[in-house]
Amino acid sequence: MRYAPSGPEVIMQDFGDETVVANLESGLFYSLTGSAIPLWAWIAEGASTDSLAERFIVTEDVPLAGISDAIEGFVTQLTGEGLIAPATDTPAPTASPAPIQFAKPGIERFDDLQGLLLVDPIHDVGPQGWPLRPND
Amino acid sequence: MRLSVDVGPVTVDLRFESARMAEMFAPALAVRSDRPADYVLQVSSGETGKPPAAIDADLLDGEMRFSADKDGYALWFGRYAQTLHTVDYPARRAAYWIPRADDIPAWERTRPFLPAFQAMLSPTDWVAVHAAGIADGERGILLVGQGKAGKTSLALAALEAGWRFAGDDFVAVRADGDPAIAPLYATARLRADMAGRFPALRPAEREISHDDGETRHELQLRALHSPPSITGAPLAAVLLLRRRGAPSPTFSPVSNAAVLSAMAAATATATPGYDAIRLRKYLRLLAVRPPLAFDPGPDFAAALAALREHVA
Repeated sequence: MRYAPSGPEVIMQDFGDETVVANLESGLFYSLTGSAIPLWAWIAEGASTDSLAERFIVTEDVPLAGISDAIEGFVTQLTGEGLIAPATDTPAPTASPAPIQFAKPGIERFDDLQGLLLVDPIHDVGPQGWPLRPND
Repeated sequence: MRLSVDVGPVTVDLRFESARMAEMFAPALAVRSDRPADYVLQVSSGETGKPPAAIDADLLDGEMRFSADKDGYALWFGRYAQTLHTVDYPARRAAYWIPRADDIPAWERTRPFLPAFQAMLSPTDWVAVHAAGIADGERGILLVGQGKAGKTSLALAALEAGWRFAGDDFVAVRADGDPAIAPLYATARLRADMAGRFPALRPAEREISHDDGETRHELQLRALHSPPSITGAPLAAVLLLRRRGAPSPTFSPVSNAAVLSAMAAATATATPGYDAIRLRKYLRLLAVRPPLAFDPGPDFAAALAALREHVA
């Protein structure tokens, strides 16, 4: 299965030890850490999610099944958040990178804007004007 | 009445329709300018003339609307905050209009024309950011944080201690390889429970407001007997203010996403439009100034000493 960022509203930036993904439509920000960083990059460049587990070093402590489960969970989270969507026309990358160490994919969501939208000029203000709530 | 002000790299020639409108807004603006104007901003109300052609009765009572593209920006905040902001890039003209000057809330008088200023900055490397800005000499610090994080208190403590003050709420930031901060407004909005901590700022108090369900002391900093240094500086650090009860000032790692979310949220609601452009500037800024979280602890003097050491 191949995916791609769900649209131009999804913006990403690699900071080295963290990849930030922003959804401009929802105002949500995501911090990707650990193996979520290469996983996001590979998914965004069109790699099949079926092949991603093979890109990590398998050990006794980190078996292939565990890696596969973690990747599946990560992809489910990304799709659930609306950050990626199935893609059929994305070309697959030509070369597989050398296997790397696996670290639990981390994804943390920041939703400061959601709180503010409860008191925004559009939806929920009193007659005295934003940022007053109706009952203030 | 006319007044020329700098908004980061942009100079705006403000033309107030009435002396009353000028009195209402001019004291809040931080940087008087003698540079040639990049834009003319006409400031008017519905009391002395017809609404602009873009405003019809349906819009007056309607929801927020805006459009933003390479040619222009137009924002109507909607029926509850009836202000119109427009910027025409090719004509280098802008407008601010409100039906009744009496309806302008305290938060609007404290940071006037912000959406238009943000739109004027859009084609530049600069961006207006919801943050406080202070500087120890040439070392500027951007203090990011949600509402009630303590931005105003720490910025005013810095001002009292003789630091440069670039703003407590919104500041202009140059987001290139050589970042800098610049003030937009010479105002501060101090929560009532903090007013007693800054007795020296009492002469700057102009009114008590009750926006957002909270009582605030509205300060016009130019009114101080010894006006503070309201100016910018090269940007040395970006800090996310997080009060977690630390007994002494504490710096700690923080994710870029947390800082971006705090920067972007209030900025997006106060200055809608050009979201992708604005976000890419924030990303550039954090790429060259990796942020930290900062818990200032209970003592302003100790917090400022820690900040001074951090950016030294």
